Order: sequence, then structure tokens, then C-alpha cells
Amino acid sequence: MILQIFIGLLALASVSLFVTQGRYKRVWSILLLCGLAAISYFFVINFNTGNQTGFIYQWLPYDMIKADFSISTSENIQHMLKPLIFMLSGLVYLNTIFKGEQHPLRINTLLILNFIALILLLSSHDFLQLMFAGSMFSVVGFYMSDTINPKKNIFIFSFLAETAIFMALTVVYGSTHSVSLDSLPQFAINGHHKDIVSGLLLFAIGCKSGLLLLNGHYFNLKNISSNRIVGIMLLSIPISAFGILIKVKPLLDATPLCRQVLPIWIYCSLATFIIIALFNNNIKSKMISLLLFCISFSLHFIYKDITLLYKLIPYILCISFFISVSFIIIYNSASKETDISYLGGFWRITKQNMILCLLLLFTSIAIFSRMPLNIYEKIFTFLFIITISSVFRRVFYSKPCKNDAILSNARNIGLLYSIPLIVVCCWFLWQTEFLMYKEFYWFSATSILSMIFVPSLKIDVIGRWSIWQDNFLSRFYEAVFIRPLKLFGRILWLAFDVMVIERGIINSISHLSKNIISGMHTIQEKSKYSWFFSMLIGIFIVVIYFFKDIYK
Amino acid sequence: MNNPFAILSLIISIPFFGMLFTLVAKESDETQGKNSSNVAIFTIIANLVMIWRVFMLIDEKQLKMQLFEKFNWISIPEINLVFAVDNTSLMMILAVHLVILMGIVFIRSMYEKQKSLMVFTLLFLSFSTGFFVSADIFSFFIFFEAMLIPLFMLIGMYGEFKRSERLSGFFLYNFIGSLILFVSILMIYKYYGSLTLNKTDKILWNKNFGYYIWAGLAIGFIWRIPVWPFHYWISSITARIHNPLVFIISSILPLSGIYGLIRFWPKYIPLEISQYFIWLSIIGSITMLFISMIGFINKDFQYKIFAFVTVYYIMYMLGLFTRNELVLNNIGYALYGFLMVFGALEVLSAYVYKLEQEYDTSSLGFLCRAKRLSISYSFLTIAAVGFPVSAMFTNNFLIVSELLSENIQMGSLLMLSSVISSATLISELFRLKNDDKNCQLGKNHDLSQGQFVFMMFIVFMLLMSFIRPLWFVINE
Repeated sequence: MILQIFIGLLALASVSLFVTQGRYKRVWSILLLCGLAAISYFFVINFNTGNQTGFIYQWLPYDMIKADFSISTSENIQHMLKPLIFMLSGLVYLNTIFKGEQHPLRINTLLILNFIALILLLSSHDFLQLMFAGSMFSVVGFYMSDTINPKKNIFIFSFLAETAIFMALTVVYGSTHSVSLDSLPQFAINGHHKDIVSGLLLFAIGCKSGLLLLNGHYFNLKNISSNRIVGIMLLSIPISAFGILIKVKPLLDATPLCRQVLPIWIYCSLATFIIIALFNNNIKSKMISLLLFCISFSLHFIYKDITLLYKLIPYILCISFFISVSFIIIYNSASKETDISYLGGFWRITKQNMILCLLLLFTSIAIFSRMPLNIYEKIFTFLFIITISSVFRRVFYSKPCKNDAILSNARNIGLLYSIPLIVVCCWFLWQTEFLMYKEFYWFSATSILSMIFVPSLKIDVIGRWSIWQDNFLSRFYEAVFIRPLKLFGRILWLAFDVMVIERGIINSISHLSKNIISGMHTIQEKSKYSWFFSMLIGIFIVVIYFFKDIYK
Repeated sequence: MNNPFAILSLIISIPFFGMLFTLVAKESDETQGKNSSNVAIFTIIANLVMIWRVFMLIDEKQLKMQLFEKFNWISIPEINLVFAVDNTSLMMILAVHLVILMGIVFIRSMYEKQKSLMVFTLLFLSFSTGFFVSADIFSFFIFFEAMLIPLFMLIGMYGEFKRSERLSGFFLYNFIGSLILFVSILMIYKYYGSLTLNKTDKILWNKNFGYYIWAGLAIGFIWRIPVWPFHYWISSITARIHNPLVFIISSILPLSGIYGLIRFWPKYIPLEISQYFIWLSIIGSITMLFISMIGFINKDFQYKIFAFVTVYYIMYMLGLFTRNELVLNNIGYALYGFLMVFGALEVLSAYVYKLEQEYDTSSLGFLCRAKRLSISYSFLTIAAVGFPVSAMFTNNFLIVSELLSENIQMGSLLMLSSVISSATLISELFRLKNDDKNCQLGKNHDLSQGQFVFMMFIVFMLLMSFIRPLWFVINE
């Protein structure tokens, strides 16, 4: 069945890419949604029973290298895929009616391709499929961004991550002579250079998930439309980090350096994202920070206990989705995406939007309260709730916007948005049985208090710091690699190629040859018959030397 | 396998006869040299059909040479010319045909007076095909050297440099290499007779003559690959050729060195010799780093592509020195993907360069307006930097893994060079995608429908090469 679902998704992606973008785009979108709904239905029906089905194509069937292209599922994978396929349907729905987007169908194609890549990544049993699926995310991510700078940054970081994975896995293959992912535990025990391999994989995961110091490319996304940001953050490159971490965890666990570095790195990242979300003035940066927080939080669970992850990942994915949707609603309040930074005191005009956002926030809180969290995780959850609540306060409650043009264009989103969202939120609230958990009351109280008391913080120093942090790696990269590289390249070019080789060696040989030839020329001119005779004798000697044994 | 009508001789002679037809093709101001290019395109397509036929005649699972054709050249002393093919050589022939076809299709509307260009191109194609099918030392050497003749003519006609100085340097350089190889070939003949290439393992390593033979062979082949400090003779010529077809042909020349190593280099090398190979690896790694860095800072795109090509050629050379069976079996596929990627990237870059020259404008942001060019260029850059979309990826994975397992320091340098040369290509892609309102090049300057369809065919071939490189072979 997984093969049929896979092919169905591919067909849907093709349809949304090739169908006309003109008058009938809404009709096509509805058809696309119906297709996705049907696939989601079959997915749930078939895999609720815990069916483990698969499809295997023998790709490289040779003795020296065996690799299969496999699409399979297991109970754990289903835990991840189920919320994701609903999230995909939700995003396709939102994209279709999102007014700021010119080509919703093409974005939907990219979103579906991301989901396909995720199925491939999670089903991978060998390095080649793992790298193929990981790269597919990077390529799709390249097209998800429609502005040059974010596109460039996303692509460069993804390229570095893919190269790191490539190099790490080539070392493993060189040692184990197997492309199977099952060889990783064996390599972790007795493989050579496992520290280097783990370091490279850690770097790749950091780049993809946007951990501290490796997230400049994600913050650069603030220059693109909000639905594209949500598409990238929820279904694209960051989620591939989960898949890769799940697959290579045995190796990272076996390396002491990684065991120590990764948790500290994740905690520092979580703290940084909270700070950026609180103190940055740009609402898109705030959204990106909050989504990066969710990604790092998931990574934390993967690293902590992989079995726990499969239970918790649906929760975190749903929270990320609801938070993203609330931001998309906020963006839809303004006439243009650029006007969003002027929002403030909007609750008078867009009451319906505010109610919807609060509903989404409390649904997220209800989901949080169901999660088994330890004390540190609870602290981070509190901080997350404070942050998101302060953002809502800033948008809906703080000093009202004085720009009449923006105010006149501000409006509530339509019923097409709100009714399905209300239904989904109510269903989730009913399912979570949130009233049974005391954590819900604590989290809700924190949220309400934050909305009342936490002011809109605008501290320029911290804002600038966060912007500096956004570009930290770009600057670091420029200062440490690019400039020295260019300087070194120029020195090599001028000092060796031009000075030593061209002027030194080539010109010397050229002059020498010229002098010898002019000398020879003089000799030939003066005694050409003698020279011709000596040449003949020379050739005769050479021929005799080489062919002397032929007639033996 | 049956080889009923000397098919290998046929695939050598078709381009040669095509060259003769091109010579007599009538050109006028109206045709603007298109008659010659039409004849050349037809010839190459006809030969591609024959190559496809050869693929079906051989057993691709067998790694040894097949379809032997033997011609007695000289009776006393006995010198035979032997032709045969295996998967690797056929992949090389196919890739060379495809990249040259690419070059011709793209320069058709870009340059006038194409007759001489087509004549020497077809001559080169005939000689290079002969080189790849040759299975004995003499035919191998003859075609190895014969390829230089059309190349010299093309470089002389289309190179943008002070011709006499550079050409004489280039000639001198190749002449020395050929001389060294010639002496080695003569010594092989003296001690082993007219040896076929599947028996080169018979050449002994001994102090009397073996060391000299192997040293001569190694130097002769490496001489063709731009290895530091001899890279300058090749880089100073190649990087200054802006005609994409001539650039492609001149970049195929190092392939002859690589192929020579594939055919000759022995599997087992005595320990006392192999310990010196570390120096060759060091020089190779330094060259890669050196050239990739110069490519990174150089503003001329031809040099950037030259840097990319050189880095990969040296990587394949170092891979061959490992003599690992897996590398030997897969290098043909890797080279096949690599040649197509670099050829397609070169023709597209030359297309952009030509437009820049014609309109005296910058191409900054051109890809934002030219959709067909953007699709093709982005895909090829993605393939060139090593994403898994062509045969290059899987086979490079195996080659790099061998290099890393042999020497991780050298392998890391190699990866660094590869990253730098990829970064060079990525920066060029984003330069072309960086929307600039002053760019005069627009939608009207996009690829024609025919060019786009051809480029999509290449993209299709690359994608298929990733899944199953010999997908088109239907065994009888």
C-alpha cells in the first residue's frame, strides 16, 4: 500500500506542477486537496492496524556493492508520517487561499515532494538512499525560496551539509565496505576515524536543523513570503535533520565528543531562540525563532530517547503547525506582508483573527500539557509560552498602529480559513482531554499573565545582537574562509603560475630553445649535408638498437 | 560475441567519412556554415546509432574486452592493429560523442564559418573513437598522438591568445610527453612484441627495463593531465578558448591520459615502488587545491570550468592509482556522467558569454528572465556540485571512499578542493540568478526550443544514468 500512496503523491505533485496556473487554479487546488484527503484517508485506514508493508527495488545488485531502493513503513515511522500528512494537507489548503502567493500550486508541488523525500529518508536502509533523500530536501528547498539571498544561503548551507554527510559516509564505506545503515553500529565499535565521521554528521545535522551559529540561512528567510517560510520550516530541510539523526544515532552515541557536545549545543540553541523571539522587532524573525525552537526541541527528544521521540514527535509537529498557522493568520490581517511590522492594537479591527490565534495557542498549550516533560523541559516550555504570548500581545494589544492606509486595509480572514481551523482545534482539544492535566492550568496561567504583563520589548542592543547573530556564520565564513582563500589563490596565481612557471620556467626554456635552434640553424646552414648525414646515421643506430633481436 | 561486419572499424570510420563529406559541403553567405554543422550532426547521430548497436552486441556484465578485430599492418616485423571494447571504453565513446554533439548544436547559431571547425572536430572524433577502441600498443599509441593533430589546428584557429608563443609551448610540452611514451612503447615491443592491452600485466617490474617502461608509461599519461607544475601549459591554452566546442575537445585530452592509466596501469605494484606513490598523491592533491583556489578567484568563467574539470580528472587519476577493482569497474560510469555534466555546463556558459559579448552587457540576473536557460543551468550546477542526480554521484562515492580509506589526509584535501570548485560553480549560478534591472538580456535571448529540448534530453540521460546507466541496452 505504501507504494500506491507514494505513486499517488508523485502523481499529485506532477499534476500541481503542470496544470495551468491561470483562471482555474482554485479548481485545481480543490482537486489537489481532494487527492491529498483521499491519500491521507488510505494512509490512516491501512496503517492504523500497524501493517508493515514495503516495496523494494534492487538498485545496485552487484556483489561488491548492494543497494536497494526501498519504500517501507513501520510503526515508528507511521507515528511521524501521520501528523505530517495532515500537516501537508493543511498547508496545501492554506496556500491555496493565501492571498500573497502568486503560484500556490507550484509551492504545493514542492511541499508534496518534501513529503515524498521524507518517506524515502525514513525508509532508507542504505547510505545511497539516505543521501538521495537528504539531497532531495536541499534541491526542493532551493526552489521553495523565491528571493535570491535566502535561496543562496539555503543552498550553500544545504550543500555544505550534504558534502559533510557524503564525506562521513564515504569514510564509513571505506572501512566497512557496506552501504547498509546496519553497518553503522559495527563502525561505531571498531571503525577508524569515527570522531571525524561523527563530527561531520553533527555539523550536517546542525546546518540542517539550524542549531546555534548555523542558522543564518533560516533567519535570512524573513525576506520571503510567510507561507513559504512555513513550508520550509515545517516540511523541508529542518525535518530532514530528524531523519538523518534517527538513522545515524548509533554512531553519534558511540562517540564521547558528540555525546557531550550535542546536548549542550541544543540547550544553548533553545535559549538563543527564546532570546531572539523575545527581543527581535521583526515578526517573521520571531516566527522563525519559535519554529527553530520547536525543531531543536524535537532534536533534544531524539537524542534523549529515540523511542520517546516517536511518541512525542506528533505533539511537537502539531504545536509547530498551530503556531505557524497563527502567524499566517496574522500576516493575512495586513494588506501586504511588509505591513506586518506596523501591526499593533489590532484587536479592535480584527477580533475574529485574535480569537482564532488564541484558540490555536491554547490548543498548543493543551498539547504541551500532555507531554511527559522533565523540569528543564518544562522551563523551556514556559519560556516558549511566554514568548508566543508576548508576540500576540504585540500584534493585537500594544500601542495601536497610526498608519491609516494600513488600518483601512486590515481585515479578518474569511470563513474558508476560520471554520476548518475551529473544527480542527476543537477536535484536538477534545482528544487531548486537557482539563485532566494540571500542567494545562499552569501553562495557561503563564500565557494569560504574559499577555497582560509582559510588555512589548524593543531593546535595540539585543535586537542588533540577534541580527548580528543572524549573519554570524556568513561573516565568519567570509572572514575566515573566503578572504584568505581569495588571497591565497591570488598569491598562488601570481607567485607560482605567473612568476615561477611562466616567467621563470617557460620563458627560460623558450629563450634557451631559441638560442639552441638559432645555433643549430647556423650549423645546418653552414654544413647541411654533414648534418643530414649525421641525422641518418643516428636514426639508423636507433632502429638497429630496438629491432636487433627481431630475426632471432 | 559475434562481430560480423567489423563494427568497431565502422564507428571509427563514420566520423572520418563525415569529415570528408563536410569538406565538400557547399557553403555560402545564406547557409552561414550550417551545411557543415548539419553534416556533422547527422554523422554523429549515425555513429551514436552504431554505438548503441555495439552496446547490444557486448555482454555488459563481463569486464574483459570483447568484439576483437585484428588487422595485420606489417608482416615483418609483425605488427598487428587490434580493436576491441569493454563497458568502460564504450561509455567513454558515447560520452565523447554526446558532448561533441552538444557543442555542435549550441555553436550552430552562435558562430559563422564553421566548416574548418566541423572538419577538425569530426577528425578528432574519429581519432578519439579509434583511441578508445584500440586494443594493442601500436594502435593505442597512434591514435593517442593522432588526436593532437586536429586539436592543434582547432586551438590555433580558435584560441584567444598570442598564438605562436602559447602554441609552441603547448606543442613542446606534448612533444616531450609523446617522446617519453614512444620510447616506452618501443621498449614494450622489443621485450614483449605487439602486446594487446588486456595483457599489460605481463610487463614485468624489474631493474633491467621494467622500471623504465613503467616510468615512461606513467609520465606519458600523467603528462596529459594538468598536474602541478606542468598544469600551466594546458591551463594557459584551455582557459583562453571561448568556443565551447573547442574547449570541450581540449578538455577531452586529459581523458586520454586517464584512459591510458585505466588500460595500462598494473594491479599489483611492488612494495619498493608503491611507497613512492605517496608523492604522486601529494602532488595531485596540491594541484587540485591550487587549481580550485585559482578557479575560485578567477573572474573568467572558462578558467572556473577548467578548474572544475581538472579537480575531477585528478581525483579520478588518484582513484586509479589505488587499483581497487571497485574503482576500476566504476570509473567509466563516473567519467560518463562527469563528461556530460561538464560539457552541458560549458555550452550553456559559453552561450551566456557570447550574449554578453554581443550586447556588450553584463549577464547579472539573466537567469531570472530566461526560464529555459534557468532550468537547464540550475539542474546542471546541482549535478556538477555532486548532488545525486547523475552517475557521477554513486561512482564518485565509491572512488572517494577508496581514497579516504587509503589516506584520510589526502582524501580530505581532495574533498576540500571539490568543495571549492563546487563553490565556484554555485557562485556563478547565483550571479546569474541575482536579479538586476539593468540587465539587457531578457526572455528573447533564452534558449531556442530546439536547444532546450536537446538540453532536456541530456538532463534525462543524466537522470537515467543515476538510476541505471545502461538503461538503453537491450541484450539479445
